[in-house]
Amino acid sequence: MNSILKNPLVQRTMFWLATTLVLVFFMFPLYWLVISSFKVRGDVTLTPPTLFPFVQFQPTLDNYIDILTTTRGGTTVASPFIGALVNSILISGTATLVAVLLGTLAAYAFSRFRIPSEGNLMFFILSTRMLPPIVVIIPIFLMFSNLGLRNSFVGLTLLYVTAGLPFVVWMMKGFFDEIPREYEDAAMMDGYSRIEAVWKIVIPEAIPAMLSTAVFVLITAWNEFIFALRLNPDKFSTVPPYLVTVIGYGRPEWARMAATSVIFLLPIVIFTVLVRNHLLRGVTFGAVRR
Amino acid sequence: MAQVTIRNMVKRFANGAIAVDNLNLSIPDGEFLVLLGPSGCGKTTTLRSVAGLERQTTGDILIGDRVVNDLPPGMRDIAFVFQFYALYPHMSVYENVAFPLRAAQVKKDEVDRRVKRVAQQLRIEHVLRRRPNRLSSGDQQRVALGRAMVRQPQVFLMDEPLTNLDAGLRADMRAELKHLQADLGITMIYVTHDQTEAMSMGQRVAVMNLGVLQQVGAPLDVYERPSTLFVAGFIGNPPMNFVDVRLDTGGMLYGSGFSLLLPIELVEKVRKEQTQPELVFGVRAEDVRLSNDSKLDTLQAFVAAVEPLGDETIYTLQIGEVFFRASTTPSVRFALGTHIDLSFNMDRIHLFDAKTQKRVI
Amino acid sequence: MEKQLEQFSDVNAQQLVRPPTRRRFRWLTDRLLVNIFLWPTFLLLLFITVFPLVWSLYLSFTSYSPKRDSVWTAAPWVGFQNYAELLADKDIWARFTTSAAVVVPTVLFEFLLGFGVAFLFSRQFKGRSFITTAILIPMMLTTVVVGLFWRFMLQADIGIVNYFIHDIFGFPAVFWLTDTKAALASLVLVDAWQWTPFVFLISLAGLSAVPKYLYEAAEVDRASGWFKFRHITLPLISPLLLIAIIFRLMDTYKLFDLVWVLTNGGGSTNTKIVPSYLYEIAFGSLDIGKASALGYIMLVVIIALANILVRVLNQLKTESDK
Repeated sequence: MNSILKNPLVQRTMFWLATTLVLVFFMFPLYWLVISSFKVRGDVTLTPPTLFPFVQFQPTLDNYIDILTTTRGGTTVASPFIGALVNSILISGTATLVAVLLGTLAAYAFSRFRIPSEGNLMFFILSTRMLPPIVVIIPIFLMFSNLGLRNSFVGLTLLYVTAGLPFVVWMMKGFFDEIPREYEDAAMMDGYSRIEAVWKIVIPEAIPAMLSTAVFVLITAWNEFIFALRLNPDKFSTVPPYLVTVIGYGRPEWARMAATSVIFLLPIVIFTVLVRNHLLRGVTFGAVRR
Repeated sequence: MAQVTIRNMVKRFANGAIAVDNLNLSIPDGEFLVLLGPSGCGKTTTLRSVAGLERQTTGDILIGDRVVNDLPPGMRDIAFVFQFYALYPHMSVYENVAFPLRAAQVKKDEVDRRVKRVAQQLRIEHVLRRRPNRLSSGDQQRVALGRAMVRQPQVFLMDEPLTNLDAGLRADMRAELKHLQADLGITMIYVTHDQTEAMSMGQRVAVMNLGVLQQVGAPLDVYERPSTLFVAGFIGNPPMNFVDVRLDTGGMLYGSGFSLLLPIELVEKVRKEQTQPELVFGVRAEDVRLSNDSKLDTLQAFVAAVEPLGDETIYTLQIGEVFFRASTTPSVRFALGTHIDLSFNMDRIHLFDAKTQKRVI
Repeated sequence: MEKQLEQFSDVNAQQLVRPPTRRRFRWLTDRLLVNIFLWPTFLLLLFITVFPLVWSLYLSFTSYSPKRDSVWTAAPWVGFQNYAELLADKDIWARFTTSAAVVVPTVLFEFLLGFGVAFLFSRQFKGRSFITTAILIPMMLTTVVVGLFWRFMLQADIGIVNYFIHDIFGFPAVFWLTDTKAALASLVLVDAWQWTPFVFLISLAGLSAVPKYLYEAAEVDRASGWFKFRHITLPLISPLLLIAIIFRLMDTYKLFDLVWVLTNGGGSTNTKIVPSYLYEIAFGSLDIGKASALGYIMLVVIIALANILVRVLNQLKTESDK
């Protein structure tokens, strides 16, 4: 038995078998989602299911056309999904921009200056991110109602900025700590003031880090559900709450759900591939680095 | 060009630790001064305070006749070369060198003229278009120098600039830097922990330990007449031999298993300077003589180790519980484990007060 | 000498660059800069996080309900009544038990699978970086969407999962989303699908950070594979693994989106986990006072949990430093 296991060929076969199983487990759901989005409505629920496009079924773009357009009074117009998508893009985009900007400045201050009880402040910033959203949503809901920030662009954006800030501060502080202070020292020695040194030297150095940090903030805001659901159910609704309604309440519209999901997830997949080398840092708040 | 004066400088960190303790130092115009000491001795803090990157707790720093305590670094008219060069990675070599001039809003063609001239002086013309991280460490070092030179500042400050070079290049750069400084006639404060650099480059060497200035002087003076036990032990390779001794009334030095009769004139000198008998006897390895013929003033020693280095041979010798290291020419040969006779070059022995650690003779 | 002369001929240029060169932004001292850089962040955090929390603490001592009170200030102060009621309520304890019944198996499953896969991938092979990146994608995806397509796949009649279980392998079909126990299992399954990659990523980083020479040294000492794993790998990566576990425990405990989509908020009350139950009290029964109190109980639990885990983590770190 032992000798069989030690045979390199057997070992290799077992390794690839295990790897295939792992890949199937993690990738099949996505494959299934994508091919379902190209099936006609009835084919999605067929038993036995059709697994191979072109062989078992003819892919169609019907679902995509269907979700992107609506016919109103005989003319074709953009669907509510487009509206939600635009909201998602604008809100998470703006929030990311603001959060990265403000968070980067704060991170710089934390990295370069002596700040009284710095450790406690950094922990405070982190702890705000650990709060369960369900706990804070009640007072925020009331607060936003009072301030007229519900169903507004500003309200949800502000929330996403605040949600992103702790992440940006922690990530960027980690990055700044890695940029030698001597760069600014040298620039200040040459007659620049600190703010000019930051602008001319530090920021250009930090741009790649800021971009990868921005990707994570963007994805987090893009994915957020519960606040969007409660605070912006109408005009400024983003995609996640909209998606829940798209499958319908009577007979589920699986094919349309699949097409909508594919469109919504595609940017995430692209961005994930772009920042793949920073994922570890990103998902652990910069606590773990390679 | 200007002289630099440090008066009663104290630097205390936020946690209460004292980095520099009442430092007084004056560097004349055009001098090459080396600040030497082990890490954590306060030399870098001193340098950064002169640069204005840190603010001393008390005391004054003067550049020329001007007190610069509250002047930001950019207005002190100094240049700083950092240990890791701090070349901006997103700029080309040309832009790096031009950067200080841009800060001073010098006209474009003037910038170009100067950058080119500095590049020529430092032989880095062929790399001007490249990014700094593509350069060899030697060229990076030159670019850092160029960036410091281009503005023609009054004072050059350098913080261990040669640490990152390999041994051969370091020797070359030592000579080159010394030449450059002499050519430009500029005041230079150079921080290092490497005694070879200090001895070979400095017109004067200032040795610091634990925030306290130990001695300032020409390199050979510091070597030959170290004023404290620390300086004696820090400078010289192999390090100076030390023995804790006690001076008796008859002019004998007693250590554990070791005794030595001092010449009468030395005894008198010691008596004049010193009231208590606890001393530290010090002698450099090259001042220990080995021979095979025992005389009145020789000591019997056991050869405990032999290190033939080629240009010299270093012996470790045991007398009682005391070990001495002696360096000899390679032609002198003694076998390991034998007994030989040892004497000291009495003109060049050192005695320190064991309590104050200060030099007695 | 020549060079010296050249320097003197350069007097005009020297004049040009003699500092003080610039006085721009001199008013912008470091102290002022720190304030400008820090305050926006702190104001936002105070306004959107701290202030609501304090308000919510106040509300938890009232019986505020929009159904009855026109404004929150009109709500009667009830002291600890909400807390007392909640802690005496058998239902609450059941909700926490259900939460634990989801959290513990989820984290365990994610940990075992994630670490296992990382161990499998800790050696070099063709296509490693591509496969690794592919596996990492799920954790970045929108939880709501993940819930939706798993709901599609887990349908009892038309779902592809049951097709494999029932039609291909001949086991009885599972009512994934409607049966009480199966619904909790679905949560575990889907959360694990999405977040195992997270544990995998951290484990992989830990495993590849173990210096090779340690294994080589053990090899020379003829240590067995298990011995190497137990005495070299595990002690070195355990702090990292604990970080992964802390993250996952906290996140699973807060799980809301997935439950909302996958099982319609947890179906009937007796299969709900705490966050969903809290949502129902707040936005279903509009009992804001009680919901706020439950929120604080949740907070206390999570803070206690985090504290214990961080303490264990520090213990592990000091041990591995020895």
